[in-house]
Amino acid sequence: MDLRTPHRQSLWAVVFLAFRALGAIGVVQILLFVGFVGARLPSVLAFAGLVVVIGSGLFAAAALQWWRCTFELDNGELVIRRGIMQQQRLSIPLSRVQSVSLEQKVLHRFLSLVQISLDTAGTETAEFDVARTLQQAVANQRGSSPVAESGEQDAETKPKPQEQVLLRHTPRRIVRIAFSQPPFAGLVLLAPLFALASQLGRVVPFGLSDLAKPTGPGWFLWFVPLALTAGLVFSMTLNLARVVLTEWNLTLLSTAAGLRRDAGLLSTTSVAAPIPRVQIVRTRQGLLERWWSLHRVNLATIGNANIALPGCSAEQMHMVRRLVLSGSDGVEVFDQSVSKAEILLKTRTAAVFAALVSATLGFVIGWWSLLALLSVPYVAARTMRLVRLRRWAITSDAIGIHRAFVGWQREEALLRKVNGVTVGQRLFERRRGLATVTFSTAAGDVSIGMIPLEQAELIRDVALHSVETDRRAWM
Amino acid sequence: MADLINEPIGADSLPRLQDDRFEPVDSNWLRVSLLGMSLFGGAVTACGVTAWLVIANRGGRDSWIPLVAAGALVALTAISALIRVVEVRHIGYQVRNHDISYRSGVLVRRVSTVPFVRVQHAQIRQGPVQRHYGIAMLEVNSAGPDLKIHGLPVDIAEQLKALMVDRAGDLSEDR
Repeated sequence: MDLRTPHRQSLWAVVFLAFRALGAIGVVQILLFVGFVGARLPSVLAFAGLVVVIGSGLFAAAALQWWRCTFELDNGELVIRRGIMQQQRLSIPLSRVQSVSLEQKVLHRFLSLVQISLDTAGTETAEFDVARTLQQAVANQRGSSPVAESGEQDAETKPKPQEQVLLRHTPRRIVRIAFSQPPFAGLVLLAPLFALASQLGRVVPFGLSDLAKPTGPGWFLWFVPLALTAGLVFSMTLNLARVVLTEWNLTLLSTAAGLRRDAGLLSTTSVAAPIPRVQIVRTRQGLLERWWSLHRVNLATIGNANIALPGCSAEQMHMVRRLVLSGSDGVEVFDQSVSKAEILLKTRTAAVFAALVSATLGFVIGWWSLLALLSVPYVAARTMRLVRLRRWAITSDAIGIHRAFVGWQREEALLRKVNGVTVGQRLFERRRGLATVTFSTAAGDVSIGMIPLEQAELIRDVALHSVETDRRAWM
Repeated sequence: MADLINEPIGADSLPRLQDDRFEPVDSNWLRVSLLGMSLFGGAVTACGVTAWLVIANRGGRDSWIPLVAAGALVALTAISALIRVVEVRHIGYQVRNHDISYRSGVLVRRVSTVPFVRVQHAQIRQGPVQRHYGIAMLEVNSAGPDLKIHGLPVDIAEQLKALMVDRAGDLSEDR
């Protein structure tokens, strides 16, 4: 395929564009409109005719959009022309592409298509989506190995000669990842159904609502634990299904162009980014992850294509860290603490809020509203532990912060990746000679709060000196 | 590429950002800000009074609602104006060989610094009222924080923009 001449997307893209237009308008809005108009139409035939007219209009607009959208490579730039009423010409130098994401949903795979998203540092969203394989062109521009154009990607794809598998999760590891998620997180998938709870309750064959009615003195003792257990099992099953579908065969490869993450069972997602584009390394281990000896690594890159690696062992986590920090040791020892004044701040805020809530609820529920004040000692105890376990450190080339409560999380960034530094003082901090210093990178911020102002200004100057004297590329 | 030399540096030999070297912005910016807030307050008051009159003439018992809403907005605008009066004494900018810093804020005071080598581009924005008073806003864009330096005389804003573009280009070529 010669990309130096203008090309169009696959003809099937008209279908995807039509559905995207539908999604942009809003399925709920369309259903409401159809319901409103349909209730006033004289017959079903008229209603069907309305649906056909609307559908034809959507497809006609999508077809016109498809016709007007072309892409080509011109002197190392990806040039996209699109627009119906207003012509738009988008030029993206291939050297400015920060990351390339390939996604192949079920329908894409059935039609042998791929959705490709390119991210640059200029915006936070993908510049465009085209249902054709362009990763090969970008990869060739960077001198990496080409990716197969065929939509049929074998889940057991053997790596190309220039690619090296850094880690690949086994099915057993995938299951462990699922069981290391927060127990009730799976119920989030059902959130939209809560809006239709009353309608769903009518179609349930057995009397679900009858179960919830108290019947006998011991009802509370057996119903609540049963409901919690049933909810937990159901949620963990949803967790398992979600993780298996999204993270199946999770593989991290080192390619000539950088790192590539492939994962997915029915819908395969591939995220690629050059190593220098990684700005912040975040590692964490929750309580359940500690039980399974797993770690989560998140590589924040320029653009929208962060590389998330759940379920890594400690060795895998350190390996990825060393690779991404490119010769730097990063921050190994977190030896600086923060001021305990944060305990006073959080406790005072919680006390004020609890007092307001208690006073308001007192008119409704009487003396029971005083229970709201129990939140104050909880906030105080929680903040004491958070402050006691929070550590940070700065080396000659990296900054890092470590937070812990039950689990822990860390953020590290190389100083040469810093794009700006801000030293801020809230009123509370100013009265106590404290400050918050924020190191801004192209992929997010690393903030250290509640440290002495002099210390904040010193590490700001250290970071600025490092940025301004380091000749190495930051991206 | 030359070998990277990375000698340790003591705190006393680091170039420090001096807190007393910040340049104040033009006092006309306060006039422009207060004028804008006054116009907004006046517009809100007019809308509130008009709505109150319309509802009252129709015999509505809730005619006080638009007055209360307008009053609340005007009160918030007045508080913002007071904060701006205090803030204008504090804001300033400092240009060094390798970076530019901007100090701002009253309740939350901030000093943001962007090295020239990280500047993506700089632009000047000037509204009609600012044009009348001869001031402009310099916006410095980087991949991290963006600086918006208000209340600069136009010629100084142009000089700073040119300086940053030149320095960003020179420093990039050195790498």
